Amino acid sequence: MAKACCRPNGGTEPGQQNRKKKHPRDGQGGEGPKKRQSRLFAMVGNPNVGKTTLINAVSGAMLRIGNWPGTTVERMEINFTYHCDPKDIIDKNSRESDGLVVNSGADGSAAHLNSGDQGLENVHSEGGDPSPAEKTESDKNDGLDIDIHLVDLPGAYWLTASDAEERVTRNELLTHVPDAVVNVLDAGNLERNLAMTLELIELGLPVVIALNLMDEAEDKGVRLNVEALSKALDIPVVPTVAVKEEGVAELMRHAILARHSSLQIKYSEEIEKAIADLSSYLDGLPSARWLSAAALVGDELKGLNDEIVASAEAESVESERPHQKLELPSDFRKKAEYYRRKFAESGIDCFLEVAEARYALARKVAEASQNAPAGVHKLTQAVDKIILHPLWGIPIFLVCMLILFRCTFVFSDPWVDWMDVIKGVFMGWTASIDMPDMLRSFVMNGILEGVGTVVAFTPVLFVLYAGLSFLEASGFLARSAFLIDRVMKAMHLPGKAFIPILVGLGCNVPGIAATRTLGSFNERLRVSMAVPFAPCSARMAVFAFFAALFFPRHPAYTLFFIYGISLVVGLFTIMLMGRVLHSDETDSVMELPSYRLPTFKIIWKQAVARTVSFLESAGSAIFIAVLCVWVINSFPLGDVNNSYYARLSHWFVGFTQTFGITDWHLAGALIPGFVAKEVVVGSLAVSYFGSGGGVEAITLGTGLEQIFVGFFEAIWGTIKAFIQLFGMAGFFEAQEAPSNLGAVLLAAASPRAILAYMVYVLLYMPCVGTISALRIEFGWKWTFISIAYSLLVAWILAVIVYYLPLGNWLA
Amino acid sequence: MTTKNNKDLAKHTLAELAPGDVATVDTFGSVGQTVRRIMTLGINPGATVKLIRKAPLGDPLELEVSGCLLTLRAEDAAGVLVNEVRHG
Repeated sequence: MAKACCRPNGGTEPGQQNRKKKHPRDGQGGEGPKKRQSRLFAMVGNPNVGKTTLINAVSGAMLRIGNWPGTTVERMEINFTYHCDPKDIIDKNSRESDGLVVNSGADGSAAHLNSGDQGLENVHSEGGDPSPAEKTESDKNDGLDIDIHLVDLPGAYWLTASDAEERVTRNELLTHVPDAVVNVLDAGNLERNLAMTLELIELGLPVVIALNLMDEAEDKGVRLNVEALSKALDIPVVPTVAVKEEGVAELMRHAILARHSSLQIKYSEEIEKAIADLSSYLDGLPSARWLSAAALVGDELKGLNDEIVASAEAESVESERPHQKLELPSDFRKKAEYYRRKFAESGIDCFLEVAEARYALARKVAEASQNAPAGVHKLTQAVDKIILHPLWGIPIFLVCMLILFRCTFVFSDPWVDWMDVIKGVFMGWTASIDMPDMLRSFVMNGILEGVGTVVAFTPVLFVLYAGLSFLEASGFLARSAFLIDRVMKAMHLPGKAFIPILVGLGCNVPGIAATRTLGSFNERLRVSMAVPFAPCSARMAVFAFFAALFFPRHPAYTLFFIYGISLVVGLFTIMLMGRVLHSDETDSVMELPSYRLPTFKIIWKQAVARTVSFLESAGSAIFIAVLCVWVINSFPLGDVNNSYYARLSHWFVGFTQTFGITDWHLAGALIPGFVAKEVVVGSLAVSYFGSGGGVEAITLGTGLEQIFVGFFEAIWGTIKAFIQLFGMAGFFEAQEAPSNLGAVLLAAASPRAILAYMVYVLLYMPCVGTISALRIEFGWKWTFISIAYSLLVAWILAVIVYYLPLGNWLA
Repeated sequence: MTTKNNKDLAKHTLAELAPGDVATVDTFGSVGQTVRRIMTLGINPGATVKLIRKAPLGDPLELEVSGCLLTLRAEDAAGVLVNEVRHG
């Protein structure tokens, strides 16, 4: 019934998959004649219960869905219009004082919800008879438009703030008091989800429950009695399946009608007395009880009025509601401090007491509402017997990791080749057009090269992101963390750090992104500072080249040596960061989700979204960096040995000679190497031999044909890849280079210098891609620190390696 | 009422369980960031916990609570006091 007539009237950003939010709707906010009601709803719930999916379903918008925790520490807002037949909004059973009667024909004082005591104007416009001239299209059915402003708060388990997500949620609820809280629960995990619900009730806000993930709960064997739950909590409960958009209209209807619950948690006598006393200082605030309890358990309630700091990615949005400053009287704080001390002295841990009471009630309510409790998925248990087997678990795990690693190259190589073909075609077309040499050089070596470099990233990134999505969504990631945790613990890392580092060995960029699975900012930062020292495939290609050339007798040892150094430096960095940053160690406990077969579509979408988002931010940086390199290469005009590049390189030799490199070509190659490390070898070739003659001009037709053919070859290559998956051919293919380059290089430096050079390349300055990734996740400050640190470490180790004549021994 | 100093009841910890054992969480030795996290995930006072297995390398532990599977490092498990231990 409700569904038929009530429908959300279009979201704000259909099709937009990133974080841009729209400005508040026009005509809202007490601007006069438009007679519309408005509501502010806040969506609150545990992480990963589908809040964002639900918002998408409710508003029709296309917000980014983050499966990785920590994706929404910004406040996300959405405006939409809820069109309704007013008859359906009248709650016939409402009690007089709190019923919300919305009647477009009635006289009009706007209905107020019981937050009036905070002095907050809940509606911006008075209800009233809209004059015919002002009726909008949607009023045709004599319906009512309610402008809904929905705020999606970060997933949090509690409101007593101890981390950023909780703080944001707490602040938002206290200072932008919503008309109703939509509490999204995981139906299959009622007990622990209800802890938050109880806090929300204590906050004195009207709450409506969206009982989400109903389908998954059924899979777990849960049978819920929704009515019993609603009665026990004295809150309307609406079962929803967010991904199928079920229950959404009903949910909104109840949210509009929401009123306060009469449920109260009873703590022990002492604590109740303390709360009553503290509340008396808070002058009738609806949230007094929660605030008092929070103060007792140790939430210092600092920074309540902090405006939400936008994360590096978010754009701040003007909130529609004024920020209601909440100032707690100093007497309150003093009394709270007094009670805290008093309880501590008598050996009472308020935190545990309060937690016990809340969880006891949550358990009672859950038991009352569950006809059959949740049990672990049978299939999951069975699979775990194999994967987590005491004997076979680890070997299976290692094999899987190896295969995964192979996968990324085997699947992306055909497409990287195709990118090369396309680049070649464009170069050929450029060669066929008549244009001045400088312009041609600019287009080919600047623009096309720049775009080419960016684009060459894409297949590898995409495959790695897809692989990550799969691992995480399927549940394998958590299992891998469980298996390897003991080893990680020895390195002062959480088990979940394994996958980011492993991925980092393929490419640092998704490695850093993968740290999002770690719980806290500090943990993520710690691991991310170490990830750039994982030798990525680009660097390994460079090393393979040099190893084959300079250390033909022990190429394998040389590479092991490189890995060894990176391991040592990585570990050292982690320890160092552990001292510098306060480490929370919250990742020692983790949930193992049920196994799920993630749909191809979702993996695809996520991988695309992440790759695109990376390209947007890093793409321009890489492109500009390549152009800069072109500029210093090409000017001043004339002899390449006189270019800015050459001059810069000569100057740079003054630095590199400290570890034995005196040839300016080698020194100079480090400069473009910061764009992308694999460019080092190519730059050497160019530097010695020039840009290598003419590119052959080709016709439009030939070019198109080549692109076309290349596409099908890439597809065929991908198919072959599936077959070759288990082969072990050629882990690293050495960079291709002109054969005469080898000869020239051998004369240019001694083996021990080259080994030092390799160490420098391994450790110095992260590539532009990595820098972008760091910036996105952690901001400029830490990015610069990482750069400076890596330059320092690289230099120190290169010098050490040079003076220990290891290089000579390996040659 | 539980208090930190009231240890006259014989207390066992989660770390002492063997695979297959079931116990009820009583309280915690001390409260810190990790304990908060442990509680929010389901290991909270009054919860029924079952030890499924220990990882191949001995650590961490895999527990079942309210139909969820959780992993917990042994050193943290030692801070979770339980009673009513029933052997599987």
